[in-house]
Amino acid sequence: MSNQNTLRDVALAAAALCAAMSVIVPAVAAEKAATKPAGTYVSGDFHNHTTCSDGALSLQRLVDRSVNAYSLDWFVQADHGGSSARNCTLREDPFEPVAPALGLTSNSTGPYGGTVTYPSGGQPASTGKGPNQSWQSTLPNGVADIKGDGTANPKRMWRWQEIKEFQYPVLEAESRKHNKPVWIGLETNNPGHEHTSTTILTGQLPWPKTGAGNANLMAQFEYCFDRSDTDTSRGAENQWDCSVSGSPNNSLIDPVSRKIAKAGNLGGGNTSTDPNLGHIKSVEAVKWMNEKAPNTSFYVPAHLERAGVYNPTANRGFNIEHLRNFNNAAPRIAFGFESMPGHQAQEDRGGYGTGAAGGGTFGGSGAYAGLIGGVWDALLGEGRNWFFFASSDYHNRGSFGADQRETNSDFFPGEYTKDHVMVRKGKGDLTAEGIIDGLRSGNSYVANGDVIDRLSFVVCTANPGLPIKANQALIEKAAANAVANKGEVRIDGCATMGEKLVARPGADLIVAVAVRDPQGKNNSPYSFPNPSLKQIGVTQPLDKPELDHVDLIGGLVTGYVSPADTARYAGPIGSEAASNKSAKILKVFNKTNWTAGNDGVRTMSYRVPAVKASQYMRLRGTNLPAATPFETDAQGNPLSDWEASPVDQTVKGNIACADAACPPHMRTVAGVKYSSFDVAAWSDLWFYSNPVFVEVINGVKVAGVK
Amino acid sequence: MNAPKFLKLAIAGSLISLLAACGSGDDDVASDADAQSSFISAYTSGLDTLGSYAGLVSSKFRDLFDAGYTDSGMTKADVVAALDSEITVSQTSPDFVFPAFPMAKLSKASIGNCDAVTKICTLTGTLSNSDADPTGADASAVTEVNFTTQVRQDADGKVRLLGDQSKS
Repeated sequence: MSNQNTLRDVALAAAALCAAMSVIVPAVAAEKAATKPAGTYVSGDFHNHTTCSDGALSLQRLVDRSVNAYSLDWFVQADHGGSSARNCTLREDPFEPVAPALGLTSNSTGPYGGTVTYPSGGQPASTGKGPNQSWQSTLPNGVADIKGDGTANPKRMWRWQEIKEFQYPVLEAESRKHNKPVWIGLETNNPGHEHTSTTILTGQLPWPKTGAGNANLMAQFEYCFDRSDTDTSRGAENQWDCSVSGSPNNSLIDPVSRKIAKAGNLGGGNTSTDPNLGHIKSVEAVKWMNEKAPNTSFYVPAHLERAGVYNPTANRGFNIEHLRNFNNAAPRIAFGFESMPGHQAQEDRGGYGTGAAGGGTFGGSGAYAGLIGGVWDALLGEGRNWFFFASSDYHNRGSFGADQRETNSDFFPGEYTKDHVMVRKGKGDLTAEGIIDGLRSGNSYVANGDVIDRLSFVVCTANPGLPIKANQALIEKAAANAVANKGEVRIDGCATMGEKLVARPGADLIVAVAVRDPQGKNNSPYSFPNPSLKQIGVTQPLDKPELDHVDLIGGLVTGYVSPADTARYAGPIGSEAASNKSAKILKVFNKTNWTAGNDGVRTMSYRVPAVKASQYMRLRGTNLPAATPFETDAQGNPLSDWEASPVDQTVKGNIACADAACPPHMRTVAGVKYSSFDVAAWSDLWFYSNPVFVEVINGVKVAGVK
Repeated sequence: MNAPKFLKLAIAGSLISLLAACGSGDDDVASDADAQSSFISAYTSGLDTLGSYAGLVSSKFRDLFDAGYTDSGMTKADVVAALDSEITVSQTSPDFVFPAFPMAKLSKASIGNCDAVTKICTLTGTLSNSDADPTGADASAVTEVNFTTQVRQDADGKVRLLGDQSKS
């Protein structure tokens, strides 16, 4: 038996152990309406970068963009783990967060007042100035202030020290300055995989909290479990230990660094000599979070298709068994993924090249969630609480300056992608804890380009004493009211996103949806006609998208898959393990069957007669009709984004942009401009809801959802 | 009495009878006003108590559905089966929570637009639900919709729900 096989066996054993240790949320009905606290949906983002890692903007400036310029309600700043040389407490000099490109043309209209000058080119951080100065050159004692291993000149600071000693105080101050919850997370470089968005809130005191907080646990997590953190100092004076109480994998911990690491593999990743070690370490990371901060942490794999399918001897992508392992290890910590990546304006949308699992993005979403019947539907078909999220993953604007509105790389947080999450703490009581609770609950949805900005999605058992149409009208009205209030339906006998409805066999179900297609402009800088729609004779300004239709997607819940059932538990995209053949579009709603209000609210409903089997339902919607060439198929499914904009930028595209206002940075071949970059992203907008589960009494239990 | 006069009296008598059957005060050809009132009262209270065991087993509530009731494919037999199923599940499943479906309150109900021959009338009213979050920022927002369906006065004089008679 090869060493690789031996360690693969260890990995499988670890996975099985994870399952055995799992704490599955008991199957209980959706909470009684009267006891469910009131709440509201708030928008935010939890994965973006600054000069603390490889981002172009300072912490202060990115926070300002997020919660001020683009009005997000909350923000988690999550840079990469590892180390960096730049002193990221420094901001651009002068700090001018608002530029003419954002619509503020004089110093009297900016939020900061005073006599400031807005240069037309903005204020990108210049080499050797502002946040591009090194830690070593700016700290009082120079290199002596930089802890842990390292001999580079200038010496790089480990992220754990940055987070603990420098980054946290800046963010705490920024949070209170803006009166919004802003706190630290980490896009960890996964051992065994690519990246995961994480946070540990414990210790942090973002607004509205007061007093001096700390991000010590977040810092320790980075030291212990980030593959790029090869420091062996145990956090210098902290003398951290990375063991998990009672874990058999503590035997893998290196005696010096006190984390899972080996000589020549200090990050503890997958290598040819240590196959699967990285994945084991990542599962330990989830377990560690669950032990240290079970209620204030999350672990959400990011752009998880991008690095390809899993490779036991390298640090690549995630297969479905890895998501199952994480969720089994700590369902309250690992409860979803970012299958819709950031970098939406890049030439290969999301940064997904030909090596990505599933081969690129589909309407901006990776294949795991973008293709019906795939990985996400397989997880939901188990009844797992595994939810859909997205992030902007802002690093820079590509060839454009930070203050320019065009981009051929990334959108700012809140500019294009938003996570809308239910916070049940009540109006005026928006807290970071409530946001994490909301993310964990699955009561959330994602929308790009503000194709919708409000959603109510509810499934109810029909009242047998009422005619069906009266049932539908009543629940539709409840959904419309919820959208008007930016809230949710709280009616006994109903369940919303992330919840499950317990229904008797044979009951009729009423699915009601209300969305708001916001009136006016979104954040797109372009008002010329959407080139994708222009193909089919529709003239619609890019900055005024209109929701075309909403798909109700459903699939059966057949129960948790045991790790021992390897054929159904583990496998790459397209395998039996990663498929749910029952998933399909149940209903298409559009202007022919929804009720349109003048305020952009559309209400619609669907009847499921005589429900027999446990199942789930989820929504997606878009501004593009079915059969839009190079964008959607005849059923309305998103096509590969390479259809519209081939990954090879030297070849012509498929959707011409003939309007005189089409910007010059678009793909241009033989003098013809083609939809690409940010124009392609603004043209092709989607939203995704999280699921509502239905558990039929005496049927399959929906175990993972409260 | 000659024939034409007899005919006039007969016609007049019929009109009087018809007017009496219709009640007074509007253009509708009403059925028995008391029967209508009784139905509205019984249906309103029946809906109010449908979230309880007593409401589900109530024979009085079941009797409010006409033998010919059909609505979106649901027949009276389907309604009765649904009520029975709710009872069974409530007694056997620990997961069952009363009420298992959204409750609805009927108000402002009236019956009109009656057909003298078929004795089919239109029930209109307002349905509302005690949504736990009915107000939010807008105090006027309540879960309330207008409600219309057909009722029929049967041979026993009682008014019952007839539904929209649609098969699906």
